[in-house]
Amino acid sequence: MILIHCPYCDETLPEAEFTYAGEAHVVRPDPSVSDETWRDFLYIRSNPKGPHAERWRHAHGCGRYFNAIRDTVSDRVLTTYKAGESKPVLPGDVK
Amino acid sequence: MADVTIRTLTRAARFSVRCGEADRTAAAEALGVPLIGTIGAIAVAGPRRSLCLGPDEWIVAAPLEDGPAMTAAFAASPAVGSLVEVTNRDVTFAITGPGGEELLAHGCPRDLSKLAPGRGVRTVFDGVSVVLWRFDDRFEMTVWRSYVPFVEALLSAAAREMQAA
Repeated sequence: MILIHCPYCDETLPEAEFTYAGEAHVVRPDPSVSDETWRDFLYIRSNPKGPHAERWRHAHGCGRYFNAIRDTVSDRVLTTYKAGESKPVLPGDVK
Repeated sequence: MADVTIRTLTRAARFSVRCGEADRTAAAEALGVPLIGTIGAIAVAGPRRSLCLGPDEWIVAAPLEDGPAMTAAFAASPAVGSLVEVTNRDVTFAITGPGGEELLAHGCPRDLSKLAPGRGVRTVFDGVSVVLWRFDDRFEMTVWRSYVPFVEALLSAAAREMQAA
């Protein structure tokens, strides 16, 4: 079972208390953009092999959404941070 | 064999309280019980008590007959927030005895040895969202009433298993 640190409760808790909510930092474009851009916003995700920024909700807990960076290869949650905060730079990130 | 007893508590007045940091003190005054701003913290004032569930969310429990007065006091107070009476939504089980932690481990994935007495949490019990309070001598687990037959069956089966071991 994955252990996830909730940045609101400040506790590391079992995955069973959380629900996954898709990729983080997907910005909604202005509705006047082209159909292709809108399609990309709706459906196209980065799907990386490695660290992935994603949204989680502490559904059976404080109820808050927050962001996590999870390595899609090892399934290890590298860090979590509150919703609205910018994506942290991890050691080994290519600038 | 670890000893454990499960019983259903009589109904209490229960409220779900949501309010921002600025209104917390006024809301607590109206309800007659402190609302602590740390997730997991229980506050007790006489027979009334509160538990912080989220950054702006508390559950308040009080004797059944106090309910109407608390609703009126909150309505009259300057606090901006929401008070929802959930008395009829919830059923609470009291789990006493040294086997309480082991019993709850049958459905709760949390490490309950890290939940100190005087603290509480909203967590999950075999897929059901529950509110768990820990006191010196017991756990109290509050479950939505539609899940009660399921949770009760699971708890009593687990208790029987522990007895047989």
